[in-house]
Amino acid sequence: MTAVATLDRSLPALDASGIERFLFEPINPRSAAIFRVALAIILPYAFRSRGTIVFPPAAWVPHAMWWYHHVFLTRGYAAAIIVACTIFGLGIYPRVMGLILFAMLLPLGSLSRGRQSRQVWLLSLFAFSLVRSDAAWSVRRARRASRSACGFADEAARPEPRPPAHQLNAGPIWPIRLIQIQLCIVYATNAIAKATPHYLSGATLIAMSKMRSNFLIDMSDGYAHLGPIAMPAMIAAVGSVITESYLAVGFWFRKLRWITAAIGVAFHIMLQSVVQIFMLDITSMFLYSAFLLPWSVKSDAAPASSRSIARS
Amino acid sequence: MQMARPITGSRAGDVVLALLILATIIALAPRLRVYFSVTMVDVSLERVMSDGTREALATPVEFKQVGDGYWPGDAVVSKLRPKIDAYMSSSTLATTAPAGTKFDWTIRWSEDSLKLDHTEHVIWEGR
Repeated sequence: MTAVATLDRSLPALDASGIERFLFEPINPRSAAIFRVALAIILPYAFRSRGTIVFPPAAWVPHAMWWYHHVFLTRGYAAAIIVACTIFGLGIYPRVMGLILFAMLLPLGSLSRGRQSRQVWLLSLFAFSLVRSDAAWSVRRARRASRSACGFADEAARPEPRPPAHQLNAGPIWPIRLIQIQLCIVYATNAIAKATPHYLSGATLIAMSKMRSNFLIDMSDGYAHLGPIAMPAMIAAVGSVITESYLAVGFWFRKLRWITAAIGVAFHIMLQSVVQIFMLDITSMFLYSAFLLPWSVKSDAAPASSRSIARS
Repeated sequence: MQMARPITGSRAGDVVLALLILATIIALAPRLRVYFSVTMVDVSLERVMSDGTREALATPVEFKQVGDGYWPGDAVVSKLRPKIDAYMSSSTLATTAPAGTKFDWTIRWSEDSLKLDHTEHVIWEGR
């Protein structure tokens, strides 16, 4: 009952205006800027491709190998990605740059490492490219501020001209909702895939610890040895399915968001001692920010321009 | 509350675009599954003398953790057979063995189970 009440308060009511708010509520420009800069910093790291080989579906494309060996897997291409990320991070035409970056990174989603995480990054980048994330902390905003300061230096008392209403926010929130939904799908898909008798019995975990070279512990004796704790493989398997199921839904309860994020981080840190994961854990934790950042315009202090409007 | 201006210029356009991206996310979701399934493979090797005596040999290193657990069960034998052929062709095992000696490679595997319930033999004859 309490959980339902919390969810009711977290999600807008499912009437027309509730759905409208869920999709078209304006985005806080500062949160959009933070997400944009963070994305620009992490993308070159997430798409590092040294030592990888081409995998399907790209490997099925005729002449794809030539393109990979002469273009996509070269240092020059990696440098071009860093340049594109820098431009994107600075907020110079972020929508166009986001889509260009998406096109540049797309071929790197079909390599031998990080296919899952790169799929998540690519879809998140595509969705975020639709956000007008240059409404704050961008070169455009900085230029406007400096022009405004120069133009009215002798008339300090003159209020800043009112920007168009749509520039006071970063556009509708639905691209962020898609990123939030994707994070939940990552956990839900894995929880569903693991909810099988074989997995829940612990047999799959034991077999993986024997067969997979990136498993750091051997569960041949039926136990997951995590430091001083020897946990039965079955408990570990059931625990991971319950945790992933919870993480798939927990973020939608506003009051539980930080607790859910803490549980998620603890879960991924614990996983690090069991298995070496390339990037999907970091990707998931990064996307917690899609829930934790204050996306609502009213949750942030009004920008300087709107404060002056309010005073006038 | 004032709503934001639609990205495409109309709310219907935005909803259609959002649904298209959501459909892509859902369609590609099965690719996001990790560490939910494994194929166990065990390879053992025996030398069978002409009188039928069997002697277990150490499994070569390259046949341990074969496939890293990712091979589909129905492809285990077809993937291993060329590896066995290549190993036997390049090693001195077959060439130095007395006439009539055979090498019995036993491939046992299972999917998502610790019981290696599928077995296949690959027999190599000494030259």
